[in-house]
Amino acid sequence: MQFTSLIFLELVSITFILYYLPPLYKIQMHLLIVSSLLFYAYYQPILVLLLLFSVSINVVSSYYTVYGKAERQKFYSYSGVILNLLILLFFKYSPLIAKSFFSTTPGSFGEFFITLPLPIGISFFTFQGISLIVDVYKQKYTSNKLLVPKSFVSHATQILFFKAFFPQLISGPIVKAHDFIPQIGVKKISDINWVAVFKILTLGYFLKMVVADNLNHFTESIDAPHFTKQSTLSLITLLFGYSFQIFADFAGYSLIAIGFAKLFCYDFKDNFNFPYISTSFKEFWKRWHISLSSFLMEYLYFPLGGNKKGQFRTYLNLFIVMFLGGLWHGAEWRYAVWGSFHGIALAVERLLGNSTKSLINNRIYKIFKGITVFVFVSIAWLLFKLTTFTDVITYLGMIFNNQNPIYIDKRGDVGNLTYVFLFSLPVIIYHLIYLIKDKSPMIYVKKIEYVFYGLMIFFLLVNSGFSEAFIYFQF
Amino acid sequence: MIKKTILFASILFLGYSLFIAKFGSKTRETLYVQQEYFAKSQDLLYNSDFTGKNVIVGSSLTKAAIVEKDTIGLEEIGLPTRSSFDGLNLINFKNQKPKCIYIETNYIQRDEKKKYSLFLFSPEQFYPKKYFASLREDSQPLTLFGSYISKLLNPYFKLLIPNKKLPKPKASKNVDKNVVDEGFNKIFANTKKDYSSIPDSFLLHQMLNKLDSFVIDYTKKGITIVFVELPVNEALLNSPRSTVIRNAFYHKFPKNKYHYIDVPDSLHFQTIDGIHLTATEAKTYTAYFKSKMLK
Repeated sequence: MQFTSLIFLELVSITFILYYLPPLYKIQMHLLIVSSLLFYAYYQPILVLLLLFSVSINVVSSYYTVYGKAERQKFYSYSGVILNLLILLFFKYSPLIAKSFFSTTPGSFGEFFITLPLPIGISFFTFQGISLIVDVYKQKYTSNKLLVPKSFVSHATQILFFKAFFPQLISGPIVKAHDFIPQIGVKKISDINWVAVFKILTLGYFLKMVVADNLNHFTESIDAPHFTKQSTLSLITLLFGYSFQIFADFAGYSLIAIGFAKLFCYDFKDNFNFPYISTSFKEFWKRWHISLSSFLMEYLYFPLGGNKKGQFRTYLNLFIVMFLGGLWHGAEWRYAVWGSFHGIALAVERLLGNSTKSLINNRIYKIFKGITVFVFVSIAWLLFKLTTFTDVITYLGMIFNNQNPIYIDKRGDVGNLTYVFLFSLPVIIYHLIYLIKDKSPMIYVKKIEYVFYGLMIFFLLVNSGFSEAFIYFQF
Repeated sequence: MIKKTILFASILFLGYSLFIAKFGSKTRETLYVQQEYFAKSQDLLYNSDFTGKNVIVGSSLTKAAIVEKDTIGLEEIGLPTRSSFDGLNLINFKNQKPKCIYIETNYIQRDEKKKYSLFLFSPEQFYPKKYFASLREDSQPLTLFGSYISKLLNPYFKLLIPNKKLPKPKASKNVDKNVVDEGFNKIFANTKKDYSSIPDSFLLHQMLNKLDSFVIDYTKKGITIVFVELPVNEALLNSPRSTVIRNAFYHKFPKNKYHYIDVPDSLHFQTIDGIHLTATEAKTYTAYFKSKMLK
């Protein structure tokens, strides 16, 4: 079920009404579980069983990590993590393994694996399961008894709710157990922060339906072989247009998820924090898909040793984390290459860090770095959009060596440039507003914020693009 | 804050709706093929009346092939990227009774897109757009604004860049004999590849059965049905795909029971990409079509 579909809004409305009826306070969590399962089943009913299986692994392993025999607790937590990873490996990565190492001809062993369905949201709910088990085992944030009640049934219900809660089920944000489970409890309609919900949902839907869905119709020309007919001007325009589109699409989705969670009085942390103003790769990854990067840092980079095991290991760890982070996005080598590029960029940046320390406060240097990061990130997105390395190399090559002329028509290059700029402008303004957040003009901006939100609602009504699936659904 | 925002958005919306109601017909713009499809469908839904008229339904081939429709007394529902089923759905939804429906056969294997149909016909989409033209696809403010900006900027771009307009594609009657431009060759190679594959027989059978139920329904209502195969590049006329579809039609709807307008043997048409007729050729075909229309 898509956040932009009418059926989703109907489901939310019915759930909302029942959820806040005082006689039903006791079953609020159960109501959300039922709606969440309906939400998931809408796409792939049979795969609800897989979700339940994944939940049951986490329920059992986390419960026995807390209440099992002391000497077996490590075993329960480790096997829980391994089983989570095996499910992910089987459903998400076996087609890649089969294609890379086995024959996939009809009737072959490999054919079975390439025909496996990819359960929607598996990457997200698996990571949430891992966060639960690790949080319970390590007790880094809170006592594990606060996360796992003594009653097995209560615990199972809570974990089913934690993993299946519909706003974050399909494409995140990846909610961590220690952030979410302590929030579980009775919620009243008077607890809702209406202004926050309204603002977050308006911005989220605007980014998705007006910015991303409209940009999508232009960036379709990036797909092979269409890009081979484009001029250099259009290739550059579309490259940056896709960069703005993917931000608007995913940040929009995350905001809608956060907004709906807030409507039911649950708080998710921000998933994007103006990533395109970043002046370093490290900063970019603290601002882009924060729930994933913080997960990778907490549950992978630190356990690998982080930066505590010498310079070489630090660079290697950064590379490994980004390589696996890339592969998390999709079972194709291009995603791993995308992650590796970012890993190398992070390592090189760290390596050069000392030699450029004197320039750190130089404004021109900062602007130069900001542009470098944005251009690098945008070029790397090509690995998301184009399906083969050859296409990516051809695309980049054509930017510098291109025989296609520039056409000054509405549907030619100038049209592309005008419209891509126009639909990207909200993302640019959004980032610029952040840059003045501590400056005096911001007082005036805040006073007339209803104008901005009013404009967003107006454009949602009259200028939404034809609704397409969220880009991150495929992950 | 919420009330102020909603009030401001409502004022903007009403103001814009008034603007479109007054100047809408002069400002219509679309940006891409899908939007063109919706805009044309919405225009037909809200502004056309098919009662007692001749109507042709089909894909972009129909749109390209039939010109001067007013002079030949024909309503054209040629919807880009789609097939005859979309047009038939539109007629059904309007619940009007045309005199005769001409059905393009070329892309009959393409089923309707449910998502598109919902976008056009579901009550929550249909009624608001019926009463507020500002909500329709061809009235989007950023599209109109972008078009205005493009026009403003064009002279400056012309100073910077040698003025080139999108070329009118060259065409060929027969690509095997004539040397044609590279752009045409690239596109035509893809089209040829498409036409060399035959449609899935189960799917084709399903589509013809679906069409049959439309035909039975229309015939009962007294509407005449005529099947039309539109001309494409000569090299594609007897391609595996064209042949399979043509034969399947003759089998399902025998020629002795149904009216057909076949591709004229004596005429060879130029196309821009192998399947869409050029503007000049469309005039020739329209004249031919007119001569074959049922009186």
